[in-house]
Order: sequence, then C-alpha cells, then structure tokens
Amino acid sequence: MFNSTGNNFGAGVIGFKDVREDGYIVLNAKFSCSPVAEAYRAATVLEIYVPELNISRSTESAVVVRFKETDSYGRLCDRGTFAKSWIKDNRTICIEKLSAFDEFDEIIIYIQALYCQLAQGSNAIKGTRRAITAISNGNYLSFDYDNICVVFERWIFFHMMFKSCAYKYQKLDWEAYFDGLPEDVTADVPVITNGNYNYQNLGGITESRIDEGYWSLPASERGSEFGSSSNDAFSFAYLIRDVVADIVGRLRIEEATIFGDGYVQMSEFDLELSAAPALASVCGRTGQYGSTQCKVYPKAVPERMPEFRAFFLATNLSGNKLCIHLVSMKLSGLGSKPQILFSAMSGESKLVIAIKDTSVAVAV
Amino acid sequence: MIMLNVTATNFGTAPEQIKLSEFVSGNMLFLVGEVHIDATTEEYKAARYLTLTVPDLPFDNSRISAAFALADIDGVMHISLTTIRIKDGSTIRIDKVPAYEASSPYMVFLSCVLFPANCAFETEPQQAVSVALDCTQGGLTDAECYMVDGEGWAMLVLNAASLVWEDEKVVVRLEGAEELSAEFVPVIYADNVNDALGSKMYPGALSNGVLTIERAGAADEPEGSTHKFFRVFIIK
Repeated sequence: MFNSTGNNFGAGVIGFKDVREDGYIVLNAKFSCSPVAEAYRAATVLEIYVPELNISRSTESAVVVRFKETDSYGRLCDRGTFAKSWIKDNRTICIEKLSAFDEFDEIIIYIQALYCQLAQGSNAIKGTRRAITAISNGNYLSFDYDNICVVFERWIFFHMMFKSCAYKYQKLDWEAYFDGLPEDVTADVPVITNGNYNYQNLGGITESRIDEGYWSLPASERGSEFGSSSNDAFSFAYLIRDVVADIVGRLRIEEATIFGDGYVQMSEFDLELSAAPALASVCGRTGQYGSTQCKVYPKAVPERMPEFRAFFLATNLSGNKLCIHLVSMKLSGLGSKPQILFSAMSGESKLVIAIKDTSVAVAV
Repeated sequence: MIMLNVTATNFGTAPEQIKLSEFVSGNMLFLVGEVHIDATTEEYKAARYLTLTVPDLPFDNSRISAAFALADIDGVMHISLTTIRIKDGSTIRIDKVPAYEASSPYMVFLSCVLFPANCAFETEPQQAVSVALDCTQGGLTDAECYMVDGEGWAMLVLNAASLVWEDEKVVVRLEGAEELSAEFVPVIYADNVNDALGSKMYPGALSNGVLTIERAGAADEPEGSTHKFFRVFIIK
C-alpha cells in the first residue's frame, strides 16, 4: 500500500493498494475529485504523483469514472464510463480527462487496473478461468455463464455478468455468496449498466460491494434501468487480495489445477502443513466418475514438506453436495516425481468430492 | 476439560447455551461440542456467517476445517458438513447450512482441529496405529480403525463395510484406546451419495475405549449403501 504524493487536479491524498510483479503492476484505488476545481480545469490529463513504481511506462489500461445524480422524479441517474489510464513514468499515473464530466461538481474514479510494462518482452502468464456460482436465498439472483474470476496469488481478475432478479426481490437490497471468489478480496466495484436518457454519451453505472466472499448491491444504488434492458450489467476489475506474505519455506502447495494422467485433475487445490506435530489442511475438488482414486502430480513441493497420509472428510460434489465421504490422501515420491493420491474409503464407486478440512498428517 | 469461553454469538443463540470443550496444544486448537441453531431468528437471517465471540483465542487466523451439521428431517437424522475457521483473535466463524434451515433447529457438531496458516517451514508427521477391534455385541465387517494418540488429544478413524446389529446395537472394544471417551460419535453412512438431504448416521458413544453404536430406529439399509465410518477428535 502507498499514498500519492500529489496530483494536478485538486484531489486529496489517494491511497493505493498495489501488487508489483515482474513486468506489471496491479493498482486499486477509489477517490473523488471536482471537475469544477481550478486545478482540474487547467489539467489536460489527470496526473497522480506517487512513490517510485516498478513500471517505467505502461500500456494503456482503463479506469471507471462516474458521477452520482438523482433526477426530478427521484430516480437515480448515476452515469459514467471507462477512461484510459497509463503510467507515464515511474512516479506518474495518468488518467484520460473526459469532457463529459466537466460540468459536474464531483466525480468518483475507480482504479482497479493492471498496467503492463510498455515495450518490454516477457513470458506471458496464462490464468485459469474459475466459475463463480452465485448462491442467494432461493436463488433469486441469477448470473451469466461469464460470471468468473481468475485467481492469482495476490490479485484476481473479476468479471461479473448479471442476468436477472426474481420479481419480488427487485426493490430489495441484493446479496449473494459468490462461491469460487476468494474471500480475501474487499472492494467497491463499479457495475456497468444500460440505459441513459439524460446523458447520451455515458452509460449507467452503479456500485457493488465485495467482501467475505459476498457480492452485494443495495437497492438505493440501483438505477431504474438495472436489469430491465436487453444488455447485461457487468463488472470488469483487477482486484487485490488481502494476503499476508508467506514465511520463507512455508509448507504449502497451492495450484489452481493439479493434473494427473489423462483427464484426471484436482481443482482449486490448497494444502498446508502445520508445525510439528503435523496437521494437514486441504481444500480441493475433483470429479472422477470412473474411478475411486485421483492421482495428481504437483508442479513443486516445498523442500521440507515430508511424505504423509491423512484422513479427510469431504462432501459429495454432485447432487445437493451434502453427503459425506471419508477420503485418504497420500503425498509421496518427493524428490523424484511427487504425487498426491486421493482414495475413496467409504465404499463409493466414484470420487466426486470437495474437500475443506483439516486432519492429522501421519507417517506413511 | 476446559470449556470454550463464548461471550457472544451473532445468530440468536445465547452464549451460555453453547457447550464447547477446547484443548490447546502448541499450534493446535481442538474443539468438541454442539452448537444448536434456530434458523428462524432474525439474527440468524441477518448473519452472513455464524460467529462465536471468544476472547483470547490462541491465534488470530486459522486454516479451514470441517464441522458436522445435523438435522432431524421427518424423523430421520441427516448429517452433512460445514466449515469452521478462526477469523480473527476473538472470532470463530462457521458457515451456515442453508439446506437444513427448513428443518430448523439444526445442530453443528464440532469435532475438529484448527491451526494458523503460514506458520511452518519444518514439521514431522505423527504416528498412526492400527486399532484391533473386539466386538462384544453385534459386529463389524471389513473394518479398519486407526488412532493417533497425542498428548491430551486423540484422533480416531473407523471404517467398516457394514454393521451387524444385535439387539439394535453394536458394541466394540477398541484395544489401546482405553483412556478415550466421547459422548457423541456420529457413525456416518449414505443410502445414496446423491441424497438431497445428506448422509445418515447412527449415534455412537465412546466410553473408556468401548464404542457403542445405536441403531436408533433406523430402517434397513438398501443395497448399495456406503460404508459406515467416522473420524473424530477426542479431548482426553
């Protein structure tokens, strides 16, 4: 995290969350400013001055700029759009100044963007799409197939695509648990909606909230056009996770997907061992319909992680996901080809499970 | 045995109604006991997660662990899993079980261990011993039982292909587990792993190493029922 050291458009100090990686930086900030301020009017590009970044100049990214307004009938007419943003030098973040906002007393800018180093080759990172399953009371909220996130160690890409709301909930506050979204993300995320009668050059925008794995959108934030147009409302954001840096040599294996032979795989895998005496905590899911075993090969195992076996409780991943399985897990082959073998113990003919459990790690 | 000092909840159950035993050993927090939950209260409905306020927890975060959720549905006790973790230094978080809210009240039964994340760079697995089973009433077929005997705690795992009832009970002595007792041991099975209501269970109890499993009026199991198993943590 860091604070801005200044800007050329009359805003106060801006607090940033940041993730700095080789060749790119992810920045999160939300702040307001006044387009009628003298400094803002004088600026041609909005510049934010910051302590030294790891990027000397970047490709163009996008930030959301919006204003809040209520019309004479009391309807919300919050409007906004995306504006270009880039890093000009390692101490200056730039945001395109759009004339559409010049007459408003206050605008809100959301920086939830990833900036890549310009003109520097590097190895591309390929993320894995993770579906987000929205769980609400009676499933009154539904979301599109493209309601997804891509999870990295310290940040995520988030793409929400709203579909519909059951009629009797349309005027109530909305809340859904986003199963699949990391619970360590806390952010106000703009939602791009449709419909605009007063400002033809801008789109509708409102603000959702993400915290503790929940997505919420109060009724007081939603314009009348929300969910009633032919266009789906959506969000598009790079969000920073509230993670604590690993201690050196942490006994953890975390991989979005660990592959085995053929189509065998374990998804959302996260294993950690405690200090002695060893406990093992495991999260993950797999669907082996033709076998009672799932053998996968982690890419890397911490040097000091020992071979072990553990007995876990898991839930059935098909049906209503309520039935309980007893599963054995064995980590072996360290040093040559490490492998993790999950075996159904409770008499099933398949291994279609989700594990979220902690057990005792026992010697093999 | 030390009772967990719960000073508040966010789901309408009075703290004095929560009877949880705790045992702390190094980086491990063992929790055993029941939390009864009335899903019809306004507090429950307003809560995203169920939280127990416990001053002075031994660590300020934990990895996730599993807890049992039990509901009496049309006279049959069903069982599933929920999750538990330490959210901060004074809060334990348990996930709600929406599937059992219509059968309120439901119960969360804790028999779990928690440890803080990001705390180890060296460790050593523990020794599990195979436990010999001596049936004194009824029987178990194709059974295996393992025990990890810690200082002040133990983990027991039992897995059997089927139970042979005698006077609606199975009584079995676990050799080497004479110092272990537990008021409630859910012996889990499923008629069908896709059952929309979850697994079923036979109530069991362990007294000085003698495990008694009650049939409790359960109907005959259909062909294809799963094994009968449990994994419990016991505070000595």
